[in-house]
Amino acid sequence: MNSADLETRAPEAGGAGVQDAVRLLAGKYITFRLAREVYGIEVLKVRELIRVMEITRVPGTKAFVRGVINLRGRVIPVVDPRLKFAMGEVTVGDQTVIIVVQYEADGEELTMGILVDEVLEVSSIAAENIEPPPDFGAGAIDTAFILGVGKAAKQVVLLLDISGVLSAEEQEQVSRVATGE
Amino acid sequence: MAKSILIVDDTETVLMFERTLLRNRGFEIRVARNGALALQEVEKSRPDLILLDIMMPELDGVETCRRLKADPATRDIPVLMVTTKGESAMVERAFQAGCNDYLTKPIDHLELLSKIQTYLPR
Amino acid sequence: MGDVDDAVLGVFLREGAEKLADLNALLLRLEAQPRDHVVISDLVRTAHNLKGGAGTAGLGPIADAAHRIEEVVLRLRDGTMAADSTVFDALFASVDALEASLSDLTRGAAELPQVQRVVQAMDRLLGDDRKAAIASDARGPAGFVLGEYDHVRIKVLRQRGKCLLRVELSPPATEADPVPWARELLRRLRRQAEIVATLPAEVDLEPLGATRRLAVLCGTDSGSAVLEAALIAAGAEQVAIAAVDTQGGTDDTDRAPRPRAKGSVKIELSRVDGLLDMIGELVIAQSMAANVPEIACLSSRRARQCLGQVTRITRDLQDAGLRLRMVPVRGLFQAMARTVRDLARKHGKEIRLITSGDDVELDRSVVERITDPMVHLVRNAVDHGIETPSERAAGGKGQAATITLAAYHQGGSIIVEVKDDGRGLDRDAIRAKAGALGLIRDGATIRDADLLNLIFESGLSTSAEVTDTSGRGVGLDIVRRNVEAMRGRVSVASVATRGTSIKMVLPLTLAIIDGMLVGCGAERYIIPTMAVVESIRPLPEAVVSVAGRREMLNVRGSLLPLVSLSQLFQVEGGTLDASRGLVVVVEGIGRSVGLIVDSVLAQQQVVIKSIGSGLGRAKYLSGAAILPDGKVGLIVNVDEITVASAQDAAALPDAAQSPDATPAAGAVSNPEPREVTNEQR
Repeated sequence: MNSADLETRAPEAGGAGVQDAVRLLAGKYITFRLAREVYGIEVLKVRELIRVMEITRVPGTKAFVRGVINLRGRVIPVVDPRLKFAMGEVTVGDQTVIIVVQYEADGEELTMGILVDEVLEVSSIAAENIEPPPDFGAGAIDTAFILGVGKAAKQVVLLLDISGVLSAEEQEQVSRVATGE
Repeated sequence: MAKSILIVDDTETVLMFERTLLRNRGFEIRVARNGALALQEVEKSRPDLILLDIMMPELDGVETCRRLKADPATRDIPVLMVTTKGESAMVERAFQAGCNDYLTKPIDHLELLSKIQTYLPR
Repeated sequence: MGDVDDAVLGVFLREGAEKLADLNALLLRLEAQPRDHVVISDLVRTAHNLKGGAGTAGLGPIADAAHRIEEVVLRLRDGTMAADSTVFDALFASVDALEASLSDLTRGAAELPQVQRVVQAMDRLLGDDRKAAIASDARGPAGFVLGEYDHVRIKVLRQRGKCLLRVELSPPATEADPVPWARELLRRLRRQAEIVATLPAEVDLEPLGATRRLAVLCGTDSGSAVLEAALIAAGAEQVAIAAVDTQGGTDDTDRAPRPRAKGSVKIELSRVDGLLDMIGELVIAQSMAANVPEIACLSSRRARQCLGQVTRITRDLQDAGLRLRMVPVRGLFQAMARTVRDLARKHGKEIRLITSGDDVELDRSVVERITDPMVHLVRNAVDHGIETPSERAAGGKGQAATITLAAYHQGGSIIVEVKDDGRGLDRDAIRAKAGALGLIRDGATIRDADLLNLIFESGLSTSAEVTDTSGRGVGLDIVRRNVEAMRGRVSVASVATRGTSIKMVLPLTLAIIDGMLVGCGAERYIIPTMAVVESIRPLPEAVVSVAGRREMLNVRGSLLPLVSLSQLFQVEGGTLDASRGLVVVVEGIGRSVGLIVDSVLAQQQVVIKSIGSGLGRAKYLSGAAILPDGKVGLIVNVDEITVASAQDAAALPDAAQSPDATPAAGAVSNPEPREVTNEQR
């Protein structure tokens, strides 16, 4: 065991307020473009980036699920966040990339592809450059899947909560749609 | 807030070793020199984890552990028994009393830190 | 660490000197009053403290010496050693020697020659048997290195009725640094199980980086299936769990028992699956290569021969690979034997367990997935099926009941059967309950087999009381769902007072099926060939409309309900009309349906993959497969479609009585009855 590891861990054990929670978001993000907005996903959650390939539609799933692809012999779902955020679907072009992320939901490890217009870069976002998600007011965009708003190189980066994109509630809807109930 | 650990031992050398090592790692350390004092200290300060020597005057480690684990208020505090060779019968009773794990003297500092990290609640 | 060590040594030198002085004083008192138990206890504790302090200060030899002094004093206490002058002389000399050693240390000496003499003197008093008493650090079960008291821990776990398991795990291949992964996994495992030891040891998990294999010895109440599920959920890639038998040692032995692993077939799961994945890729690559037009139209005979050989070898390799996944059902049956015994004892029933076909092999994942259903079926049999000995005697049966577990091949499937000679299913109770749930209409006639099959409907349990074994919410509906999820089927047969038999009809393997690749618009779907009866290009006049809504196909005088795949899956540009497309006749759970497709593209062996987690369960689809061109094709769930079609038909008012349909009404559901689901005897 690395004893330094313990040293850094032990003191952080206390309750974390909103500020603390935001501070915890500091770190490296892969930034990408959806229409004109810049989003970020924690680098640790990203497994790889792949060129867009033919996506097989899966009937009966939510509209923002574009379908499934063959990732080296494994079948994984691909979602279109623009459909989810009501930004019109991603038009597949030269810059289109699928970001393969791995995350945990309800104790289950999920792998999912996220279709984005363009991948920009990997940026480090410091704690002081992160703010809690803005309140767009009732009826506006659902901010449940925005963890915070970061600034990197004078750009505003919306930090995306991967599990929120296919949140528990959403997943339930997906399966309800899928089973036709 | 730093996690607190209660060290219960009647051997000064062991106390010193554990206390110095753990304090250097940023833990808040409390000390009791026998089981009865340990129970009082737990009542008072609710440590996050207890290192409990098995053989002690007054109230020994096994009985102390049994009481801690019998009390719903303290049952969930992880208890690591600190043992030496030749204590099988007592260690067996300590496991029956519900201790979470054990360490054997001479204590290996890596093992001590590893087990503490394992059992400390997040 | 240097500062700590120095500081600790300083404290010990002071404390150790005090303890030695105490020892001296106590020995003097004991010599005067050899029976004073308070003095002896103080002596034991003082020597013990000296030992602990010396060990902590890094003075192993002094700790050893103190340990031996403690041993001698313990003998004096127990009366196994006489407190004579020889003993006292040796003890006093030892204390003196240790005091001298501490002085040496204070002066900075590196060698402590006196200490060894203490050890020797005490050993002479203790004799040879001492060695056995302080034996420690045994090689534990299945290669684990156990600490001083781990065997004690194992013993206590066993006393508490926990079962001891050896769990082997691999981190996901994508995990670059498996150490944090392993820590988190162990943390989660601790919620389900008490961990005794790990390999590599938890204190130093670094070797994992090279071995990528973590073994855990733990005690748990959870069954291995539950544990496995939890571990896989926690991110373990490959999990193998084996029970560890620790019955070797007797209860009073202080040495590590000599357990052995049992009931498990040693398969390096991760390697097998890795190999299978590669074979799968090879099969696809081979078939892609063979389909490249330039290669497909090669005229050279030799080239064609070579290609044919590659194809054949690839197939053989695939078969051989799949066989690696096969394990005998013996392990599962053995686990059930234990369940039966425990339950029988608990309920005061006398039960004999007979197993047959223990050597029949099933795909490992099939075995895993029928474990819970098996447990449930066995519990049901013990709980509800089998009567108490007195009831049996009153019914003229032998007091001892029999439960039979059997596995055997039948056609391309494997049957696993759970049979009891108990009271049999109560048909009136099933009818009443099904009526109450609205599953059947009052007074409706229903085939006996259909009536019995109702026990697999959710909410239907014929037992009046809920017991803690069977009444845990896992119903027979879950059994059926689990089995059907693997493309298997369940069937039930029962004779009042004679007993009940439930069969699980299972596929040989989950991994590969023969599929018919069909086109719908621009999309392709795979229909399992097993379910396909025939393909028909229908004449327009053979397509009839029932009640103005539902299209049916007249197949040799029988009316077959039609379902357009394009409509079902909302495929753009797909054929909806039977007369313009092709009808693939498929048979699902006891019923047939005609699937309207645009075209049949190919016959294809495919490796079944899950559609991907996170999507939920897609209705009418049972999985996905990688097609020869590398794209994903979806596999049609025939059973779901036939069931939905039947329900749809029931919703149509009196469809069966419609004049158009009269001649064929009875045959619609099953033109060629194959007794697949409903076993009658």
